[in-house]
Amino acid sequence: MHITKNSIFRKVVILSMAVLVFVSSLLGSTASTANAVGVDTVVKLAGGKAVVRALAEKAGVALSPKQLDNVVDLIEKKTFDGDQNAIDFATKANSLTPSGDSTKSGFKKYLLDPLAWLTGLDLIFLAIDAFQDGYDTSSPVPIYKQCVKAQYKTNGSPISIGDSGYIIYTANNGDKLLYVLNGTVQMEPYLLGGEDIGAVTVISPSGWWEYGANHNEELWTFKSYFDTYTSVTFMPEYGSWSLSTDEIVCDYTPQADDVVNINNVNTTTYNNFQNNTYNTNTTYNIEIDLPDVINYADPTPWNEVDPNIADEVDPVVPPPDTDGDGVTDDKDSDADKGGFLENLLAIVTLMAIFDLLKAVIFYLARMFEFILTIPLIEAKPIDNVAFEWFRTAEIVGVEIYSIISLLATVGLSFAVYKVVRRLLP
Amino acid sequence: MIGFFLSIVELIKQTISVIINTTDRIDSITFDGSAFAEWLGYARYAMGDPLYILFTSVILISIGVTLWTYLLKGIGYIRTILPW
Repeated sequence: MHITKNSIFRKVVILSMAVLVFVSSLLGSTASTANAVGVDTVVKLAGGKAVVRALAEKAGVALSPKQLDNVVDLIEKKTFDGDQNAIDFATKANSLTPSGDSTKSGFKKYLLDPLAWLTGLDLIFLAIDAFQDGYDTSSPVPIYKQCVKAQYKTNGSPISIGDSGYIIYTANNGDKLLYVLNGTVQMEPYLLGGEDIGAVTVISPSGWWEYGANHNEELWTFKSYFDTYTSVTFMPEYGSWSLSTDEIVCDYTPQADDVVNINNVNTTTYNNFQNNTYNTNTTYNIEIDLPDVINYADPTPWNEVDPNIADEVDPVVPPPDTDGDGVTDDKDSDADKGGFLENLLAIVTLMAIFDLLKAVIFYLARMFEFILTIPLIEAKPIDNVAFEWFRTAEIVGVEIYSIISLLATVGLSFAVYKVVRRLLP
Repeated sequence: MIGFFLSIVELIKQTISVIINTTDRIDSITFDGSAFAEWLGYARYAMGDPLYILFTSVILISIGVTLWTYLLKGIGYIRTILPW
């Protein structure tokens, strides 16, 4: 194709460039807030929606049926069976909060499914506030007490590499907090502000322990999964910790339909001044009482509680089925007509193929959108001493990196100019 | 004979389940947070902002021109097929 100065192809190319830059700038403003949420193993919520609603009511949070569905959906799709998955889930769940001041706490209320605790690290965290407006910065971080009446033995020995068991923190006010170690204590290098302090990390369900973190050497700091800005350092003058290698004995077994009372919320704030930095650490203690087995019954449908949602169906009460054929009344008229056709193998095959084509098209659209947002990807620092030296090295007061970058920019620009000149004479 | 048809039906059902699984896997693919995006973050840090923006803009424009060229060729091909 011979391209002249006035050819339409030349004009189209220039227009395409302008459109691409414009579109990428639009997409770039949304790319930074996009959250990739993967789907992990799907499990069913133990206790069902009744337990979820009971927990919400006890926490003083009213949920509409749609919000309840959203929350249950969140729980059932977000499961984890390992520490990194737990951290990932908490990190992702934390990002579901409304935009605003990132220094505020992530969630308004934390509720735990008692049954899930029995499976070790399989915990299901409920983020009710993710579906409501506003924040409550006084949100407590739950420190789960596994048993109401726990019997344990402590050997009082200090925690060292290779230990496993339970960390029990006894505060000066008598509160005892129980944390479960995830296997053995591992040594992991921890970078804090570019300084390697060689902290030791111990994983516990609602957060993790770091030894020597935040410049608190030889002290254990508990960091929450939910709030990256909240960490608790257990100073010796406020309590002591010990390691128990014996099995924790519980005389109460949580049931699926138990009602959880969140009470005895104690907020202890103490300050420490170290390394010329004023730190404020806050300890949240919550005792979750697990009473005797209670069969949850909901005599009051949602639409009688909140008149604004009177037209919505109570999910606990099943839709009526007058003729008893297993199909609800609102679908009876369509059940006989659509059932046969929908189950035809040919129809199912065609629908599957169409879904596949649709998935491919959407995938291509996502890929194209990602390509357009490539220029807006944020820079990630390279933790390499040699490279950092190279970036800051100077000759006669002039930074080497700036000169090299400038030369590379000029060279690339000239190369692009030559190519465009050849294509569009 | 019946067993043969039943096996055909079973084969079709398995094909359908494979297609559905493939659809789910495609839907779960996301690019945010991928290793490639992370590498680009490192590349941006290494090259610096001006050079990175210039480099990626050139790449994007080249992709746009290529797609446009293929689109024009496709339109031309469809024109030749159409009877009018």
